[in-house]
Amino acid sequence: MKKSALASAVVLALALTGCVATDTDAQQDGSGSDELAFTTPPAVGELDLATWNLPFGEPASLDPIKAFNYPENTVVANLCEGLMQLQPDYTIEPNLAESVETPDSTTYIYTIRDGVEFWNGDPLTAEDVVYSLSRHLDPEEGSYWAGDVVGNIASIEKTGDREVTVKLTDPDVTFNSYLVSPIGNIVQKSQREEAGEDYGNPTGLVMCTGPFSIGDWDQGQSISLMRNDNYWNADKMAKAAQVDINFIVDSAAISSALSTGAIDGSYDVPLGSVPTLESASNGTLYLGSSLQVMAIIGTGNGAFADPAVRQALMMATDRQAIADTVYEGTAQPSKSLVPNNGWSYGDDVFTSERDDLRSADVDIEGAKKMLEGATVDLDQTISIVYPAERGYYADIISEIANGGREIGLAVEPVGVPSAQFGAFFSDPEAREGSDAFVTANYMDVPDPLAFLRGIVGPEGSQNFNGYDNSEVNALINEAEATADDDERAGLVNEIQTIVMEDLPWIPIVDSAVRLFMNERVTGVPASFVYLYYPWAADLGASGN
Amino acid sequence: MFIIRRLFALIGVLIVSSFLVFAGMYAAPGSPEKFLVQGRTVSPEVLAAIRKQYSLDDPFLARFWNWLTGVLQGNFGQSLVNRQDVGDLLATRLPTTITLVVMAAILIMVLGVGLGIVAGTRDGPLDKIILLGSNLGFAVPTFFAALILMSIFSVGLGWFPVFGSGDGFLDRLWHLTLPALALALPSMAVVARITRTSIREERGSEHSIMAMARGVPKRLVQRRHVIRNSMLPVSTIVGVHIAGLIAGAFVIEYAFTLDGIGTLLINAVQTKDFAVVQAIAIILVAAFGLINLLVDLLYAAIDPRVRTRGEG
Repeated sequence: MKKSALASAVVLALALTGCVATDTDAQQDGSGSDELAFTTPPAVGELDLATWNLPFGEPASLDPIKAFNYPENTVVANLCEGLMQLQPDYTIEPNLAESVETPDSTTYIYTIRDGVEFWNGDPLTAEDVVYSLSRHLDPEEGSYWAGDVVGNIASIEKTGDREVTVKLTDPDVTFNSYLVSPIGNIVQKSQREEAGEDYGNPTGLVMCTGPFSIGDWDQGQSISLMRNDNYWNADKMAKAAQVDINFIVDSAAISSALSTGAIDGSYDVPLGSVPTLESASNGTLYLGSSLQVMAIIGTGNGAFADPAVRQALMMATDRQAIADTVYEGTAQPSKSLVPNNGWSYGDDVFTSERDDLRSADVDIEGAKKMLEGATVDLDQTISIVYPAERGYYADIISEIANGGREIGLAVEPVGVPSAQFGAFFSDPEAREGSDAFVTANYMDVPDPLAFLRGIVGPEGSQNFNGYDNSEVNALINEAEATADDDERAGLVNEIQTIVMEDLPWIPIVDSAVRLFMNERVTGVPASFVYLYYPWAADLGASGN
Repeated sequence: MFIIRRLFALIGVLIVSSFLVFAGMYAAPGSPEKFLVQGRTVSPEVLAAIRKQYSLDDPFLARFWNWLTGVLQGNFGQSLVNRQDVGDLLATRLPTTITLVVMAAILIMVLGVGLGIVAGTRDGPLDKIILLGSNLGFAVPTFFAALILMSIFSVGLGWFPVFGSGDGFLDRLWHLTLPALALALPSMAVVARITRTSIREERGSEHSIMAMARGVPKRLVQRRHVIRNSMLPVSTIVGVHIAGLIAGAFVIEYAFTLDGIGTLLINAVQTKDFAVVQAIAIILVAAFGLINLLVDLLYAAIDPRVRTRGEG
């Protein structure tokens, strides 16, 4: 025993020092392949039980209107369905609505699919649909999705036996796309009313129509999804009878659980686990196409408030190095604030514009020239705040500081506890006194218009530095009312061009989805759809 | 009298410390309803509704008073985040933490004191080995010990599970063995060291030497005089370390992914979940106070002079 213990300790020590070596390997691998996966090999058989992990922890609630973060959405996506559904290739298809008509730019008529039942066998009715959508409009329900998109709804009415009509105040072509998110999720009205205050928690739970229902919820530990054998869509029937979802957040524990096979798979494995899992012999680390972007958000304070400074800093930062080392080769330098492939329409239009955007290569001379146009005092130190528990942000900011130093700018990382950091996104007071903060952001829906609007729109939920440009505002309004996809993509490109000049955020890297799966299972999408798509239903036996 | 006075003091400490925790949470940046909506811009009406549902608009003192009177009636309030009864939340998590701490405490008492006695009463290689081991045990930080133990015994050898706290009594013991060991390690080392030193001092004390000289058998001298007397400082240090285990358990729970109150506390602090943080803080302070009280009682049992001193 002594001997093998010693051997393991040596292996561990080697693994720790070996990190550096793996980095360079990843670098070489990463540069060759730009293509990221959208799917994994389809399952060939059923499973009695599969285990999964949520690296961001336990869901606080299963109520769809309280779901808009990784833990809640990743689970709810398998339980509750929307009128529309996001597909692994980012297209959007009708789901609980079998069709949608838009007679004019502010009217959406949904025909509800016949023969859909809730888990308890009750049929899905138009009343349930009207009720579920209306919950976002009722302040007493406290929907976390109330605001931007929902705020534009003028009325929701049952206009036929199986027909629900939504009228908007102003035209917004992104509205229908948002119905793939919890905004469009349908729950049973009677069960919601019965559950009262306990709705969504382990006592009250929820009642939906998805491919899985809720089994045991062992608080703090795991939640079980049970196959809905009565699911309306026979083609999409879940392949696993039960999927246990655990809540391990520690990266060492995640590495151990996945590499020993104690857990079959996980999305978003921590960066710290990547070297271990890349070389794991019992499974595969997939890099999937993502809608995520890591960026630095300006607060409107200090030297960072000057667009020329932000441009110069972006040009001087070696973002390839950040992608290769901090992200272990699982990310690519960002060309735009819109993550690469982050669109579900106008592919040609978006792709060609992307080629014309400034390259992500380091350009020290260009940065120095750019800095000459700055009007602020360049001697002040630029403070960039990050959550101290996430050490890799410090590495990213010091790489930015390296670039800054070469062009004469002083950049300083400031770590604050996560609890305090959360306030940066919600509390203007928290942002005072800091020049910038980090974000690992993602697009709610694959529509660049929706994403950019949130960052630079006058009422954008992520407009943290009071960006207000009348030209941009006019373009946003025009795009929102443009039904033709390519035409709209052209308008969005114009917004993108301005945004990439004014640069309210500095995009750093487009990170890939980091999906690990044990060799015995396969089938789930590799792309960034697991927040809104019932990924667990595709999880099945690989035949290995 | 001694016990009653101590209990009253403990209640005072509980009230003051819960007030401080409440005030600290109140003063921390950010507001709970903003954390709930995770920074998303929702309409003011929704925020107002959430504030109303959780009585966030009441003045600070009123909220503290409501909380305090609730606790006196056995009601710890509702979690902001989960909308669940805090009592229920704790009930599902306390068993894990308590089992973990009890297992670690047993390890400290049995192995720490035991090894200390062995090392103290015996000279030679065994003493040296224990001494070396205790140096090592003390030097290794808890989270690192957790990492090493896990990589050797769970990942490498596959003897123990890599995560979770198990169902049922035996399964739970199996799941918690490595965490308890990692948790107990530094304290075990300290306790063994102090026990050893204390015994060696007693061995050289006048009354032991006199007893030996009078022809009392060595075993009897060791049991009656050396070990008993040396347990006085040892019991203090054991008490302090066991009380410290509760805080240390939080680190271990996180590293081994156990569903204890430590993990719950970390999440609750991050989301300004007042009721949960308060309840756990109260439990912590109470546990600390009770363990200290027990140590003092034990002290008094070992050495009757302590009792009279306490009265005087």
